[in-house]
Amino acid sequence: MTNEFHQISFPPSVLDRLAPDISLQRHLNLGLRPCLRNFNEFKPLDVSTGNLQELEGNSTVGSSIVKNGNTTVICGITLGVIETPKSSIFESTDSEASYTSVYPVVEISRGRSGAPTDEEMILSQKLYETILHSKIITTKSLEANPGMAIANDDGNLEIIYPGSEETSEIFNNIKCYSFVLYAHLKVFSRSGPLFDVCHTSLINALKNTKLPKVYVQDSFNNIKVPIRSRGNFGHLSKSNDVLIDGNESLMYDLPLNHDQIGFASSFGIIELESNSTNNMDVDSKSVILADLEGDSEESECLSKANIIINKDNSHMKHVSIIGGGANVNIETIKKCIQIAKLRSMNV
Amino acid sequence: MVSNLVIPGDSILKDTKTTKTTIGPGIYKNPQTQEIIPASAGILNVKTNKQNTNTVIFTDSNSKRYIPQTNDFVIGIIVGVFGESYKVQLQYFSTSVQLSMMAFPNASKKNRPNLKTGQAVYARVSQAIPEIDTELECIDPITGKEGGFGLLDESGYIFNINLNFARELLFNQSSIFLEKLSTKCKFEIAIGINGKVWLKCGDGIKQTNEAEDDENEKTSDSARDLKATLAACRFLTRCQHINPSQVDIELKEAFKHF
Amino acid sequence: MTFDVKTSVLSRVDGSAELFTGTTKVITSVTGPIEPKIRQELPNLASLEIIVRPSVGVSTTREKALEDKLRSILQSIIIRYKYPRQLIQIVVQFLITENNINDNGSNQHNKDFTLTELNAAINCCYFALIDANIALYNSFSSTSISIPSDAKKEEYHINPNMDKLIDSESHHVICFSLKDGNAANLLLLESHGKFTEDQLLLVISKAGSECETIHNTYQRKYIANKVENDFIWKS
Repeated sequence: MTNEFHQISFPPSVLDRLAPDISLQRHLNLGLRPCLRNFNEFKPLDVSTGNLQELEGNSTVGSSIVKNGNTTVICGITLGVIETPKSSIFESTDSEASYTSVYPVVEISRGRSGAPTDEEMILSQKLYETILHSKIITTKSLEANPGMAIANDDGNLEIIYPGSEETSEIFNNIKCYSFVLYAHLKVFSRSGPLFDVCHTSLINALKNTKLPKVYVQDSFNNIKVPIRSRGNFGHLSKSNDVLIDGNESLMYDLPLNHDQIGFASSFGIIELESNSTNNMDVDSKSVILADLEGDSEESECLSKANIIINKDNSHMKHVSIIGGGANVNIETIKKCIQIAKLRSMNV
Repeated sequence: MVSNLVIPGDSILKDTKTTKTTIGPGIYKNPQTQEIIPASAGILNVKTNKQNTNTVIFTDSNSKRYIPQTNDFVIGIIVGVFGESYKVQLQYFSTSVQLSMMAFPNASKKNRPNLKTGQAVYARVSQAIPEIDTELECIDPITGKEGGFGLLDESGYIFNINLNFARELLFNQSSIFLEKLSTKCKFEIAIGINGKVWLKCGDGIKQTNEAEDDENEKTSDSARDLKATLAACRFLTRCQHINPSQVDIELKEAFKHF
Repeated sequence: MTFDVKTSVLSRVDGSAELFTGTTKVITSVTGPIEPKIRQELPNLASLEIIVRPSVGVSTTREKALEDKLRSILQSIIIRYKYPRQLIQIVVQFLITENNINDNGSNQHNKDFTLTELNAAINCCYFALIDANIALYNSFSSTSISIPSDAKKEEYHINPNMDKLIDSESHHVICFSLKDGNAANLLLLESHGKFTEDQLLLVISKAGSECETIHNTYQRKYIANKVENDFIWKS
């Protein structure tokens, strides 16, 4: 009697889910990745800007759509206006304090709604920190010098802006305002880490952003004084609602520090277990995989790297490396930087 | 300074091929590389037999959280009944362990032990595999008798100590602490390796009937036993943090009202 | 550099440590291995729950990002296979941070640096994990470095304070695992600002030796102290 021992074999997609580690190692040993790309090959990247007019009821001032392989990120920039203390913050020198950031909200669509997941929150926060520390947007560039709408003799409103004529004294008692930039990023069909593609999307949307002029309505002509408080004019103030001038010819590009803008690439690093037969020789070498894709790559590559490198490759803006899985040594880092440089030149 | 202190990342033991090596607590063998590394910070113990064929290696370190190991003696609290077995808690927030109703001397389908939620038992860990539920039993595996295991009555007091001190009290025959304590009072003690100690001085803590207390002789007796129990518990708790030379002072301090 | 550690500061958790680095004070607790919630349970290794609490106010996405970075280090340094189906809970509470110093109330967010906090949290977690006797593959320590603009090699600031950070051109947090007192693997690198490849490599090598210093002067000393205290009753 022989106990027959059946060898079970699985189709690749099943093995990938059952034993992602084995599946990935076997692929890599053949010199292939489960997504059939080369180790250092990135997913195709396609960027288009300015297609989005409206996002969830708010009109956008800048937008971009980035396609990275199957993943699509739609980014829309919307505006807020806040009152700022008069001319106190705009005076500082070239230090961190004179730069600002956008407030990104990343939403990864998973076919259901609910509270944001950890990944969404972490991505949003990382984008915020990266833009802030990259010194791309100065606080000054978001300053909004409001114009004023004044009724003409014939009753029509006319908007005048500071600096144009000899009207400067009108603007002395207008408060200071500045814009706040919100970015809404929607991610469709996520297939791997998203930081690089979200960053690309956000940067392109910012480049595309046009800021409008704002004005305050001279509201003297519709002041209503409540009868009871007559005689007490102490609290009477102009209700300066800030309004946005819809005149597109007056819009201007959001000033950005273009030389500080970088291009993001992401990598995974994994130890390749060579299946050489002389078993005591643990000959493992680390492999760099560009643009992780798919569950097995993402769950098995514990070491990850994100590199943002600027256009002329002279310097980097952000590097984040998570070690632990594979040994990330200096050589590996150099190689990652090299690949990131090549990519940023070619994009 | 502590001699032979190891902390994670240090390398220990070069030679595992010629001598048979047994690893104990605090040592981890990497299943991929077969490398032996210290996983916790503590005092390294390497014991090799005379023929140089066997090495035992472990680190001694303190902790508060108990991880069940087979043959450990533990004190647990019954927290529930689940089918044919009790759910027993060894520490707050730890995964509860199982104590089968059949794991008592002379137990059968008809003759079941009658334990209630909240009662404490002294038991032995009969099976501890991290991947599945840990099991206890209240039988001495050699004799099949009670062997000191079973229900701990409610006249005793249960308190927590650090795990390294619990091991000292239970395993170190020449430990001075219990000996010192016995000079002050008569006591009964059960030490769980999970950091719990059940202690009872004299007749222990009695529930007194409010109506008949007063200067009754019996209650003053039980009040004395209660005081002694608390003093002994205070003494043992304090002993964890003092130099052995100060044990006598601490003992005097704890029992100063006697 | 100030580097003050107290261990076993909390009595009702399994391990705890308090670290004061001169500008930042943080207390960390470790509880575990304990019973996880069903959704946290992993069949063959321990799950980690990491909670970061700010010194002022409630947690925001800022703390979530810190949790993520801490997790990336801790999940590869804790021997999680030793505690299957268990949970290890790590809570990091900041007590003093420089971010709360809020002059004239304007533009708080421009001083939003997380590196001093991340650095302190990593170093504090190490002592809390050791105190809780959680199995670790290696020791680890971290350091922060800032590069002022036009800096020469010797002008890099190690463990910069807020003023230096604001004036810096780039800033970095680096965490290394330590083997036999030597920096072994790079566990985390977080760099922001503007820097060249040479600067980055120099920062990494400087950080390596700094991490070794922390390990050999502070970590060993405090652990020796702790072990001695734990066994003080041993005659």
